[in-house]
Amino acid sequence: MTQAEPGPLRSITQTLVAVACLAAADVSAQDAPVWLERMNKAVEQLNYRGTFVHMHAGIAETLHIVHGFDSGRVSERLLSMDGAGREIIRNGNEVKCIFPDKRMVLLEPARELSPLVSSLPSYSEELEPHYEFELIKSVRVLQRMTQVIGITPRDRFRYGYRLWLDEATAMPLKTQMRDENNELIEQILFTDFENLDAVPAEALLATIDTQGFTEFHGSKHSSLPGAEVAWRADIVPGGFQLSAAKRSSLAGSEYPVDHLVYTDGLATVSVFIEDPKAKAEVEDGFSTVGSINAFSLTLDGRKVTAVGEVPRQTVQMIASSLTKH
Amino acid sequence: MTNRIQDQVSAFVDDELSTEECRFFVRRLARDVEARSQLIRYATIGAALRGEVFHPDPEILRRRLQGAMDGAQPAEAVPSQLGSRARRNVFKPLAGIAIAASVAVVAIALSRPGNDGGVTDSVALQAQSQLQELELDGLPSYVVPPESAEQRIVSPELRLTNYLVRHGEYASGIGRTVVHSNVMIHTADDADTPADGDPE
Repeated sequence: MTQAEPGPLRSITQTLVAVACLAAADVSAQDAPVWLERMNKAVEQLNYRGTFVHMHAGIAETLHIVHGFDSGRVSERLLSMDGAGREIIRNGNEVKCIFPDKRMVLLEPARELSPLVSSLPSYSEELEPHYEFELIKSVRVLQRMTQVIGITPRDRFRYGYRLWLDEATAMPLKTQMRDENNELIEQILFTDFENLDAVPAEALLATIDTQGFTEFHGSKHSSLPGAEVAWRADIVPGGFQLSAAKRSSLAGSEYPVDHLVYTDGLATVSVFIEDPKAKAEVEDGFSTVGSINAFSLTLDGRKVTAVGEVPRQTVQMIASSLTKH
Repeated sequence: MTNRIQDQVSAFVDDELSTEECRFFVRRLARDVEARSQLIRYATIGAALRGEVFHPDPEILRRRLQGAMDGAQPAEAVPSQLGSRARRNVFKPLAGIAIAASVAVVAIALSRPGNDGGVTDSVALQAQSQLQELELDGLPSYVVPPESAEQRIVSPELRLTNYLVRHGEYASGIGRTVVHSNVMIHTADDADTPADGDPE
């Protein structure tokens, strides 16, 4: 039996099918960043409350979140339902961290979040050499349809993510952070989520009585006047760029600290350079706080610490390559 | 560090132990390195607080130290001239830290190998003398002279927490939630600091 020669109509059909398949694959790849943009807007600009379980290293903790957005102003209350019952409250320009177990309150100026000057990372083509994005499938989470997005790093200097985004709101109802071997590092899973029209003011108030607690205040200004940060990291992983350089004071310290922020658009690393007179006794070497890595060393009598939700080698590389320009 | 030791240290600092429990705790300090180091850490945090508000109630200090060192029955609490209960509560933990520092010094002196009674007595006498000075002072509260800037020590756990909170402000929306969650859950003072230097 010989195969019939394809006629002109059949040839056109095959070509159209092939083009459609290619287009679908391309749309799928392009859709992932679009979903991520939607997600970033959702977590900032929606009004919502919910309860989520944070899992790391076999430990599960429950937290409650209330988030409000009004006229470009973000308010948020994050409450730990387990352990010491810590609370973090963002009220416009201030972030208040309440540690009842330490009888301590940290007050830090919030970074200004404006819908016009967005702080959100932009998912540009510049990310493509460093991450692979894929739209995986639709699944049901919390009785809502979610779109699963995969973000896989192409090198060992950043973590990967798997996100379950609510198809209606793009809120991440489930988030997994994975290392370069695709091993699960951390997972955040909402157990209930409610999208609100507005957040009642009382829902954003602290529930802990802080009378008698010691308060530590950070600088009221985002950057001290006349401050110019001369330090820069000479070696950073591909795609990381300096996005902020500020001098300000941290809560509990009277000396200014230089703060550099490097980001590849997805992962962020902060570098803190202490004043030589400040005795910030962070030990040299690696530290970990949950899934966050930190690396400290002493340079020219200054304590330098890099922190970020990135692998250890990344914070080490950035901190170690710091020089004064 | 077991929870029990932490609880004891915390209760001691918060002035929640009875005189008998306090005496027992001081004896424990003399032989328990872990408890002592925890107490010293509290005292270090107290040092970091200097220069902020630091007005411990001398009556609490006198009562607790006296009870701890010579076994005397604590005197009835003299109503503070500061008056309000709220104010007392504000300074209670700070007073506890001051006591912790003082008692830690006594405990270390007591536990030092080869220490003779003379040295121990000397430390106790010195502490008693300080107490008398406080009493003679007759003031409702005392203020620890602010240390010079060069002397200020910021405890590492506070500083690392500071870094994370500030860092979280620059993370993306979901990144900030991740950072804040970790600050909430993984206390900065139990941050794991492995000794090895190589990441791989």
